[in-house]
Amino acid sequence: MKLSDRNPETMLNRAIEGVSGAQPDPAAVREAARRAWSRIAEGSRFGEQDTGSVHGCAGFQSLIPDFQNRSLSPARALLVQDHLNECVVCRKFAQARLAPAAVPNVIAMPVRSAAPWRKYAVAAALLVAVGLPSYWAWENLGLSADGPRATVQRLDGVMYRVTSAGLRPVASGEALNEAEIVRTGAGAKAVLRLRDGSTVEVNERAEFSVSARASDTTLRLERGAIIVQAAKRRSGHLYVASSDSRVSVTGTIFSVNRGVAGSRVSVVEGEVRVEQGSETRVLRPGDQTSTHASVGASSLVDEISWSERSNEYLALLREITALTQKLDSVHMPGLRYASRLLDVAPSSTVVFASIPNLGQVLGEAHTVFENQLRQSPVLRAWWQKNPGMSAEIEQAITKIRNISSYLGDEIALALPMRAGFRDDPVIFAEVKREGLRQFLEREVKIANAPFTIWDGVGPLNGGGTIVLLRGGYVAILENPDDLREMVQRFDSPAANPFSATPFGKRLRDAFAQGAGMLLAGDTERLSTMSGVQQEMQSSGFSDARSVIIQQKQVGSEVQHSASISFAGPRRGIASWIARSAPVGSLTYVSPEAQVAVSAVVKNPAEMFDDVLRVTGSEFLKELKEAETQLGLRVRDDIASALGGDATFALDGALLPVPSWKFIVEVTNPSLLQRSLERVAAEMTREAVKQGGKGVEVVSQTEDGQTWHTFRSLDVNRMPEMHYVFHSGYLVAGPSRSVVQKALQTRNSRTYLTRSQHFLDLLPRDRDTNFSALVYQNAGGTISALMRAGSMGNAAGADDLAQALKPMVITAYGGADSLEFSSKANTLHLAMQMLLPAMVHGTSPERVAYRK
Amino acid sequence: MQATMTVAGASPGPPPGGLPDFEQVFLAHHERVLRAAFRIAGNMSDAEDVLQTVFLRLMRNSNDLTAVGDVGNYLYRAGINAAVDLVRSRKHDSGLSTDDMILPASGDPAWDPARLQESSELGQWLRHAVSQLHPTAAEMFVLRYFEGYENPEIARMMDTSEGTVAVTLHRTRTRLQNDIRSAFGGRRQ
Repeated sequence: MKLSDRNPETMLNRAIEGVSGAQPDPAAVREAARRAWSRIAEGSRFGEQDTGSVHGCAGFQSLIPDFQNRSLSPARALLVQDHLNECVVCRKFAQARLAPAAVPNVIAMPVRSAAPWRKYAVAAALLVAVGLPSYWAWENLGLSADGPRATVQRLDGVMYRVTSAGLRPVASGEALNEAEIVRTGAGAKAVLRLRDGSTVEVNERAEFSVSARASDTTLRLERGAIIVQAAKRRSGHLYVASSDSRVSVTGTIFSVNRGVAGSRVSVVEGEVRVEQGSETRVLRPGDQTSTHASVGASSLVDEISWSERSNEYLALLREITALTQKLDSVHMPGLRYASRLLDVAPSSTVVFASIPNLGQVLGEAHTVFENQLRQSPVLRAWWQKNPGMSAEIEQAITKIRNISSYLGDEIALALPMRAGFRDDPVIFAEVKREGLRQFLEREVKIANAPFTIWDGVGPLNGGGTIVLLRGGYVAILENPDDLREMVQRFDSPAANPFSATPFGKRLRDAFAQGAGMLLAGDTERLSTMSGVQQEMQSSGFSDARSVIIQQKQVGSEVQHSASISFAGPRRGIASWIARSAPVGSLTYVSPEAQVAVSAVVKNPAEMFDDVLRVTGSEFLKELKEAETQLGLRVRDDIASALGGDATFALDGALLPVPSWKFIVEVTNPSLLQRSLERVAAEMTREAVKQGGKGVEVVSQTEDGQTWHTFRSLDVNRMPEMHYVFHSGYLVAGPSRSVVQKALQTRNSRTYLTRSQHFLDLLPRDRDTNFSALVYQNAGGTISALMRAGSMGNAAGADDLAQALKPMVITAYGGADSLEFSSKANTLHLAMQMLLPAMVHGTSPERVAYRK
Repeated sequence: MQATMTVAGASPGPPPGGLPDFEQVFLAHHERVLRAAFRIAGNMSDAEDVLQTVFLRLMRNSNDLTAVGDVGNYLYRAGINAAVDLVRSRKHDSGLSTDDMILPASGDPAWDPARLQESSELGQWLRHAVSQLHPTAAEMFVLRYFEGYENPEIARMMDTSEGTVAVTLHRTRTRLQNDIRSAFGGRRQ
C-alpha cells in the first residue's frame, strides 16, 4: 500500500470495498445451494427413521467419536454438525479429539517408500543435474517451439473453442493452439493427443487449455474430469494445473476431476506429484487425494468409469499394485561403518566422495520385475507399449548390474592436490571377483570407447581415460602422472599416509557413525588454494579443518547433514552459535509463520567484542565518536542488557506491511529501554538540526502490559516499531496487532514448535534441542502474491512455490565443531557449490597436459 | 452450554408443511443468505456451511413457518449472524478464496492487481475485526457497509430507532479506524 493511503478512514473504506465488492461466481452459488439443499433434504428424509433424544452437551459429546468416524446416520450427523457450529465447548472437545490427526486423507492409503530402482534413478538424475547446469538453464529459460499443442484424435459429441467472439465448434482432427480454451458439451467425450505423445481423455462439460514452456507441457483444467496417459519423456514434465493444485508427471496414467468444491486426483499407474500451495504429496498406483476436505473419497473404479478404457486401466492398476508390493521388499544397501577405499585414496586428497554400490539392489529389483512381467500379460503389454524406451532401460540396467557385480560395496571419488592445485578426479573401487578385465575389454571394444586398460605392468600403450586394474582394486583416472602413486597405494594400502592425516581421520570417524552418500572437503588446504585464509583469520573460520556432508537413510527417512570441524575450540564469529538449548524466543512464533530464524548464542557483549576484532580501526573510531554523542556505550548499555537467544520471523500477512517479528532475550529491560530512549533523543536532535522533527518513544500501559512505540515524527520517514517486554523477552513488530498476536501465540501455547507440520519437518537426531534453526514455509504465500500481482504468470508462481518447499535446517554447536541437519536436500546444494571449486582450481600444468 | 435436542423424526422433525413447502422457502431465499455469508466469510465453502446451518435451524425450531413472520428477513439476519460467528470462531485466517469470485478481466478498467491485492488483504482484516465487535454492532455494520442498506431500513429490520443505528455505526467506524491504524501502522488522525 502506498504511504499516502495510510489514512485510517481511507484504509477502512478500502477494506469495506474489499469486502462489499466480493461478488461470488453465479455458478459457484448454484453449486453451493444445490449441495446444501441436498444435505438438508437428505437429513430430513433420514430423520424420519431416527428416534431418541440428545440431551445437552454431554449427549452431543458422546456422539462426537461416531460423528468423526462418519458412522452416524445423516440426520444425527447434521444435528451434531449444527450443534458444533453453535457450541464452543463441544467444538473444542471435538477439535481436541482430532488434534493428533493430520489433514484428513481422502483415502487412507499410506504413501509407500519409493521402490529401490526408483531411488537409484533419482540418484542418477541428481548426478546428471549437477553435471549439466547449462542444460538445466536451457531447459528452464528456453522458449517453446511454435505449432499446435494438441490434436483432437477422437470426438464423440460437441466441443467448442471459447473465444471473445463466443463459442466456435471444434472438429475431430483439428489442432489446439497455445492456451486456447476448449470446452466439451453435455454428454460429449474426446481424446486428445499432446505434442509429446501423451493422450488425454476428456469427459463431458470439461474446460481446459494446453500450453508449453521449454520442454514442459501444462494442461490447465478449469473444470471437469480427464484421464491422462502421459508419455515417457526424456526431458521436461507434463503438468495438469487447476486453480488449487498442480500435478506433475513423467509417464503415468492418472485422472483429475476438478469441481466447484475442489479437485480429486487418482492414480492408475506410475508416480504423480500433487502440489497444493507449499505442500507436495506423492501418489502411487491406487492412491487418491483431494484438495479440499469437502471433496469426499470416491472409489477409483467410479472415478474412471466414464472412460471407454476403464477395464484396461483397472486391470493394469491391479498388476502394478502387486508389482510395487514386491519391489518394496527389496532393501537399499545398509549404512557403511568402515571404508577400505580410504586406505587407497591419493595421499593429497582434498575432496572425497563415497556412494554405495547399488548394483545388487538394482539386480534384485530387476529380477522381481522380470518375474512379474512373465506372469502378467497385462503388465507385459503395458511394458512393451513403448518398445524402444523399454529396450534402452533394460540395456542400461543390465550394463550397470554387470559392472556392479564385479565391484565392492562402495565406489569413491577423490580429488587430489598436485603442486598446490587440484588435480583431475580419480574414481576407484574394490574388485570382488575375477573377470572384470575381460568384461571391460569387451565393452570398450563394443562401444569403441577411448579407454586404455592397464594393470600397472609394462608400458602404458594407448591414450584417453586410463582404467587401472591392480591388487584387487580398479581406478579410473585421466592423468598418467597419478598412475605411479595409485599403483603404490593399491600394492601397499597400509603404507598410505592419507589415513594418518587429520582429514583422513575425520573421514574414518564419519564412517564409524554410518555412511550413506558422503562428500567431504579438506577446508584447510582448499582455503589455502583459494587465498582466503588471511581474510578469515579474525573471524575464527580459518580454524575450520574439514567439511563433511552426508545423506543417509535412517528408517524410512532420508537425512541430510553437514559438519564443520575446527582445529581447536571455536573462537571469534565461528563461536557465536552456543551449545544446543531450548529457544524461548521461538515460542512467540505461530505455526502460520512463513520464515523463522532462531539461535541460542554466546554472551552478546562478547559477540560485540568479536565484531570489533573483525572490523578495522576506522570503524572503532567512528563507534567511539557515536558513543560520545549518544552518551552511552553499545557494549555496556545495549549488548550487556541482552540475553542468549533471539528469533526473527515473518509471521502473518506480507501486505501492506510485512508482519515481521523480532524477539530477543533481555536480561535488563530498564537499561535497554533507557538506552533506546537515549538513541531516540539523539536521533531527534540530529533531525531537528536538519529541519526535521525526529523520533519519539511512546509508552502506554494497558491491562498491566506496557506498550512502547518507536516512531518517526516526520511523515513517512521511518516505519513504526511496536514492542513490549514480556517474560524476559523484547517482542517487536511493525504494528501492535502483530506483537499482540505474538503474545497470544506464546500464552495459548500454540506456537510453531508444537505444530505437527513443523515436527514432521525436523530431522531425526540425538538432540532434543538445537543451537540454531532456519524454518521456511513461504512458497504458498509468495506464489499467491505473485499470482495476485501478475495474473498471467501463474506458471512462474507455481515454479517458485515448488522450489520453496517447506523445510527446517537445524544447527548444533559443539566445542570444536558445527553440525547442520535437515530433511531437505542440502547435499544437492552443497555439491553444486563444491563443483565449481573443483573445476576452477585446475593447475596450469593440467591445462598444458590437456593440450 | 446446556442444550436439549430431539432427533429429527420425533419432535420437531421436518415442519408440518412438509419438505416441499420448505423447498419453496429455500428456493426463494437461499441466494440472498448465501451471497451475504460469502461476503462476510470470504469463501464459498464457509458460506455454504452458513446456508445449511440457518435452514437446519429453521427446520428444527419452527413447527409452523408462518410463526416466523418475515421468513426472508429472519433467514437473512440469521445468515449474517451465523457468518460473523463462524469468522469469530476461526483459529486463524483461512484466507480469501478467489476461486468462486468474479474478478475483473485484464482488459477491464477495474483490473489493478496491486489494488485488488491490497483491498483483499484489508478486507480479510475487516472480516476478522467485525467478528470481534458486539453482535448488534457487527450486524448493523454488515447491513450498512457490506450489504448497502440505509439507516432507516436497518432500523426497521432490527426493530430499533434510526438514532440508535446512526450512533452505533459512528462509534463502530471510529473503533475500526483506530484498530486499522494499529494493525497496519497508519498515521494518526
